[in-house]
Amino acid sequence: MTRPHGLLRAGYPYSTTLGMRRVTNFPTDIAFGENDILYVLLRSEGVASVRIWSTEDMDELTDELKGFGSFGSEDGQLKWPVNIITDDSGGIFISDEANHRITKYDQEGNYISKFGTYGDGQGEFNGPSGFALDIDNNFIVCDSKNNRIQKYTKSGDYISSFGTYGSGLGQFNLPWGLDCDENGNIYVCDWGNHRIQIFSSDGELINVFGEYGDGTAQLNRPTGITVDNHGDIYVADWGNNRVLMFNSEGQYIWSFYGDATLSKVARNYMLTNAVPNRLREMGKLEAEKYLRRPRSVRIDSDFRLFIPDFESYRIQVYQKDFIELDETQFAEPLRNPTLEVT
Amino acid sequence: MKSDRKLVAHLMRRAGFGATPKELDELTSSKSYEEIVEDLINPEKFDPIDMSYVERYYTGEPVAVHVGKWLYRMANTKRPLEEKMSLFLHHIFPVAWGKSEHGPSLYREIEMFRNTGLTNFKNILLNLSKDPAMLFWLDNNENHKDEINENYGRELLELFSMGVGNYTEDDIKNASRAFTGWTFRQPLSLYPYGHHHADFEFISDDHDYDEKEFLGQVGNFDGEDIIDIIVKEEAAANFLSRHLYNFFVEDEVQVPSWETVDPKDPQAIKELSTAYMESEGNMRNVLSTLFNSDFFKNSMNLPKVKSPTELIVGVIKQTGEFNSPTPGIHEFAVTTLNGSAFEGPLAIMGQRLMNPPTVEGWHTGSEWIDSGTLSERIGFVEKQFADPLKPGVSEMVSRIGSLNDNPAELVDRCLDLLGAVNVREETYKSLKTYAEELRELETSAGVHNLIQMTASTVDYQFA
Repeated sequence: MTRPHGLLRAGYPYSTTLGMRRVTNFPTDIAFGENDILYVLLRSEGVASVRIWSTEDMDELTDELKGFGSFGSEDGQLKWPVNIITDDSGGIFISDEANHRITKYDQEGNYISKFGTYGDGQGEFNGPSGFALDIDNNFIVCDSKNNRIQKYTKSGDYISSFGTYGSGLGQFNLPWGLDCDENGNIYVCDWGNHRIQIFSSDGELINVFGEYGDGTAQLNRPTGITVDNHGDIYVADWGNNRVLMFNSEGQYIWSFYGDATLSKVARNYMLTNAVPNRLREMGKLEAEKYLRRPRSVRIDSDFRLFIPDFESYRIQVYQKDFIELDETQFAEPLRNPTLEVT
Repeated sequence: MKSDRKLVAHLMRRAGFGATPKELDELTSSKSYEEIVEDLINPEKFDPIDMSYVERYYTGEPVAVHVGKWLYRMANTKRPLEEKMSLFLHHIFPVAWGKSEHGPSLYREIEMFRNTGLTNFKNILLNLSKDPAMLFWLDNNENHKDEINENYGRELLELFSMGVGNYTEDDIKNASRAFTGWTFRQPLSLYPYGHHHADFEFISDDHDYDEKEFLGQVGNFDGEDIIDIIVKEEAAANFLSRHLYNFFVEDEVQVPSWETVDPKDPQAIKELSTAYMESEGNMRNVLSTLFNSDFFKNSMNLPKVKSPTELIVGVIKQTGEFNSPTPGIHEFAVTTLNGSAFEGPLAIMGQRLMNPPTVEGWHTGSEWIDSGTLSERIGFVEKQFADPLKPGVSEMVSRIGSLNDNPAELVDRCLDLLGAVNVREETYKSLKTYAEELRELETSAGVHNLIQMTASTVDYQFA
């Protein structure tokens, strides 16, 4: 896919809210399946599983909930899952920073295989967190507590690694989220250094942006990252309770603080709960819309932005609204700012 | 050595949760005892624990998760007295999750204790009186100017500041009137999107602005005025001093008996009360007086049973299992009250943190111990030291020496590595005999057995 020359950005209207407490507790990440299916990865102390949910949400809360996975260390079980991704053939993969492995499931959630063992040797893991498949269908994995990025074949054979502990360029401090773009570049949330680092597929540093703070374009413990087909970069700014968006050059564009409405399932649930409805009336209801500690952000092929709203047990969804521009519609980059009337 | 190792170990057990052998090496070689006390009462000299690092890994809604995070802080903080004072205030101002089931209020209250514990008594009581968890626990949210609820006013005087015998029923009524309108803004409901915290709110229209008489003084008092009057009372100084003595120095009788049973060491209470009155309730001055006193230094052999929290945190600090976030710490705090099918060790030993049994809190000292809890305590310690690969245990094994060494020296080193533990003479003899018997074993397995056995003695249960 070729990136457009430029974008006419028309806004990021809020689309919908999915899930609620009881069905999507502590969503740490999501992945997209076929037929509008979402795999929502749930994680809290002593609880870890995947909820199979729909982008249409659910009309009424029932006990017939679909999902898979349970807390533990046996094959197929999860302890501290971080990321979930899917591949073109329906495989589901989950990283687990306590079990030090990546596990594969089929579309129904049946355990297929795993790879990874604890250690700091070549190919070993200490806290694997963010990971993605690159253009060659290799796994690129944040080996978080070893402060490096490792590359594996799809079957889990070690290929290469780069990175060491530190705050210098190309170094890491407990890296967390990771994504790859269609050019093979690797985007890493350098969590402890409050920045994003972008590398070529060979591990060569291409760009760095972000610094500690809560101001515009500043970051506080970035956790999740995703890149869309325009090259726009979305970062879950965990410590600041927001998602920031940067263009492909790393220039700040937009912030998402949360605009949650009542999901379909929540509306129906609340209709039969008189006391909570009164309490919501007495409280500061506006607070309910904001993001709380987002750990991940994902965007689908229709440019719908999904933010697992970790401490609010739901997913907030925005729609990227844009028109792709050609050379005649989008000027070349300007070296200097201008005050000319245009 | 700049300070005595046994004395420093004693200080670190009481003012914190014990010290590892490495910490004791560093402290005793670089600082005098007085300098260590100065560091303890001035925690801002040291970086706070990075909670973003902790919360990256430990997540979840149940109270057990938040207690787990607190245990992690206690074991890993560089500011041990800050956490110990949070625990102290939780002991004497107990609020239980069970009444509201509103977790955020509970752990924000502990944070408030952490922030105020080393300030002064007035500030502590003022923050306590504005704390949503306490306001709900003792019904001050139902204390209206046209319908007085005396629950908080009564406990403020009886259990939180002066003790029975130092005020009248009229004082309770008038204190309660002064706290009318002290409530909290309704937090959003748990459903559909999870808990939100509550904030203190003063509702002026609901406050009784009329004249009141309290402890012999007359005025248009509000809650802060009441606290101002209380903290200047000698009774408040004595009451707090006796609590501090019981928590840090020696097991006392329980609070309900204080009206009729004299303090075990009246001179110590007098010294602490004097420090309190001279410093206007400054906790750092009072604690500095306590830890530098002869009565504290001489209390090494006085009975002081570790609370379940002190025991568990002391053990995990020494084994090093949770030196960095590792799954499982919340399991120590799981209780059936939170919907679990089983009880964790804290609950079995009788201390559900953030879930004390009554407004009186936990009965301490020898009341921690019965045949069931003693068995759980010893079993817990034995189990925690069973894995020789845990970093703290592994380091002890490497430092202890050879089984062919003199058994007495071997036992001495073992006691020292476990935090300069004091043991009775009969325990010491038994350990020496055991050390001799272990000579048949391979060294690392043998010394590991000796460590495990020493930690499993009844003597280890004392702070």
